Amino acid sequence: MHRILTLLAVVALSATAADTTLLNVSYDPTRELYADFNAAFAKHWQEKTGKSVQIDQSHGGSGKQARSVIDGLAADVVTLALGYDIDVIAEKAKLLPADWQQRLPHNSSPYTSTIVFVVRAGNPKGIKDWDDLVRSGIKVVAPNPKTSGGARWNYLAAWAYALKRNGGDEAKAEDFVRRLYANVPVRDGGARGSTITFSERGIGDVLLGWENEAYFLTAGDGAKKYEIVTPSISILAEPPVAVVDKVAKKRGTTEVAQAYLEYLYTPEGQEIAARHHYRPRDAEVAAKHASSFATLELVTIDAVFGGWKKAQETHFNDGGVYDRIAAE
Amino acid sequence: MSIPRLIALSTSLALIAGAPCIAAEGGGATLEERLAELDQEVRILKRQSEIAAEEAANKAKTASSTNVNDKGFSWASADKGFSLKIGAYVQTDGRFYLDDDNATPLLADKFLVRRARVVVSGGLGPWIDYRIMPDFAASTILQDAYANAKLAPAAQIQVGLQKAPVGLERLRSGAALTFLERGYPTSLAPNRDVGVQLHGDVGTFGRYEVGVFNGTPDGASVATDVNDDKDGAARLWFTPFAAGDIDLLRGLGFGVGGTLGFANGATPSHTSIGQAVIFTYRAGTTAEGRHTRVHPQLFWSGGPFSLLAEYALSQQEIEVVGADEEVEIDAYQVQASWVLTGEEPTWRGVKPKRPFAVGGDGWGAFELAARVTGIDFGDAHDLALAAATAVREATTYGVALNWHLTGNLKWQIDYEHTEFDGGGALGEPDRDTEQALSTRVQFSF
Repeated sequence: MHRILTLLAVVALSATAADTTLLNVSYDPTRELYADFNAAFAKHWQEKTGKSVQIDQSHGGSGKQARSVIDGLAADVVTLALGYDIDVIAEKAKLLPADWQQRLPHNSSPYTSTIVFVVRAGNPKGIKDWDDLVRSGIKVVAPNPKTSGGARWNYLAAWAYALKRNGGDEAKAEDFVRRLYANVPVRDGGARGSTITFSERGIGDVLLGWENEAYFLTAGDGAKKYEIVTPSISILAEPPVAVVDKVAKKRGTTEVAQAYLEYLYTPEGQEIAARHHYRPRDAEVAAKHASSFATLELVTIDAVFGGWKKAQETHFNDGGVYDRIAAE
Repeated sequence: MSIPRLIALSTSLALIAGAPCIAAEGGGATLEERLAELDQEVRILKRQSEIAAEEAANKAKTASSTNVNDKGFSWASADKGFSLKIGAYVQTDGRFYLDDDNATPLLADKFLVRRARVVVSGGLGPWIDYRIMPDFAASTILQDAYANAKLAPAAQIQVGLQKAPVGLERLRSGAALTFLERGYPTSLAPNRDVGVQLHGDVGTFGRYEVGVFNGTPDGASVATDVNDDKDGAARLWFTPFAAGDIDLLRGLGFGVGGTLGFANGATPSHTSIGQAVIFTYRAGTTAEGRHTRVHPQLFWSGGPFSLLAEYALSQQEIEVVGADEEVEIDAYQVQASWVLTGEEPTWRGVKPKRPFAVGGDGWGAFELAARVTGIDFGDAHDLALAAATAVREATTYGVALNWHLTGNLKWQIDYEHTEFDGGGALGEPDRDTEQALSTRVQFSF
């Protein structure tokens, strides 16, 4: 009898085990997005192919996640905060081709986001724009640009503001960003860590970070505790996605991994992104959710910084401008 | 941020919280504002401390490690897969032969460096280990040079120059011996040989070793071969009570080792415990033909006591002009020790609980040991294959006092009394009794 029950349990477990599993290595704040998206894709895949798929998630600072993949974390897909982090995976680990970004629409970026501020309810410190973040006594919470992709977007957004304000003067922009980071006493490894530091640990006057994180924080009861402050200018953040070719080929998941990322571009995928406060690429879905997103001047990394490679080398590589600022 | 600063700020917060609420004169921050400021400082310091700890932990995961300690020098990758360890042991002996009027150089009282070995070992990834050990004492000799592939705990493949898996006391490290010299059964076992062995642990129940080697004469090491014949060597070791509830039996192991092969070459000679040559075959003999060995063996340690027992039988076909004979030589040893200071005398030696230190109050560990070991060449004599001066039999009674000052420093004193049957010179039937008083200082890491 015991053996029969054991056999039945094995059969039952086999029936519920997914036909395929994917590992999506993502950046820090996308937990809720992919929880919903993965459920939707799994349902779609089952209906389309009759096969089940289970998607496992890994979240962390974008740079740190990229290093994990380079060091051997077997990601079928990566959905990171910035293109440079996937470029590094292609260059150092040769896990996908150098032209990966041309394989999906919009430079493989199914949604965009930007950088905004979150303050305590009532905005007691009167934060209105970037200049307020460098005032004496203001404590800003932001993650560490050495590990977090969102933190690099933060830094570049601040730099872009300072450039515009000072007629393109790089030295003054550096001074501005230096004063900003002098007001950042805690630098978590990733964007979600900063959100928790600001909200649950009650540290800081203003959280500098992803727009979607700001909406996440101010949803529900959060609206009584926090407010979003939209700066006058910010940066257009384009988090990209990619199949990790060598891993997917080895695991036999290329087809489903490709379908998974393509599903982000479908109306349902775009709706899910919009619901989680990521700016959709699809014009119809974007129009439908236009009122959910603040209107502000957005600059691109290509226009202001000459692209990610140049920005990374100048500001974030070892010995770059950020290291100089952080050492003071 | 430092814990003391965190405590200082928390204390300030508590003190201010207890004071009456007053506004500072001249329009400065109110007490509530100051409290809020201090509260923020404490929270920030705490979070900075947490982040620093997280970063240190992450760094430790990817950082290689360097260690210098009582076990030597070692370097390891973050995942410990790749490692290099350098250790060594050096033994300086004093050998004094009592009542010895014999002028033969081999029995001259002397100091000598018995072993001076550097051990280079480590891992090349998670499943390959290696060991290289040269000895620089008398001349430079490569003792060990092998790699071990750990396919599974029960299935490992070791290739290279290594101890053949046969003699129990031979398999014990030269740095862990209870007496200065191993007993007679070891002189019948192969020493180092070049080959490949499959070995593994079968849970805690025991282990097995089976291999193919070039083949060596009794007690010898070889680094090459002179014929196509190879020796098979195997050993089974049982520790059935290792995981049991009976404390006294947990340290019991027993087994048997042996070899089967064909020898072609010079016949071996044998020495006494005092290192004098006591047996050779007569001129014109060669080892030619089947050579088998069997070594039943036992080791037990419990509390401060240990017991080692081994029997060895070596059967070798010997060729001499006009005859082929199979000669049997057998040997035995029973050795017991008692660590007076209570430490356990394990297979790897004694580690003192309270090491000796100048100015300290520890005295290390003291170990008393006794043994009897014998070897019988009677068969060779009966077959008229022994040299005229070869003894028929030797029996050694030994006592030892070992002072384990620290885990790295040991001082040993042995007295070994050896009586011989046969091998006498100058008309005497028996070789003179050998009384060897020996001492050793060993440092190791």
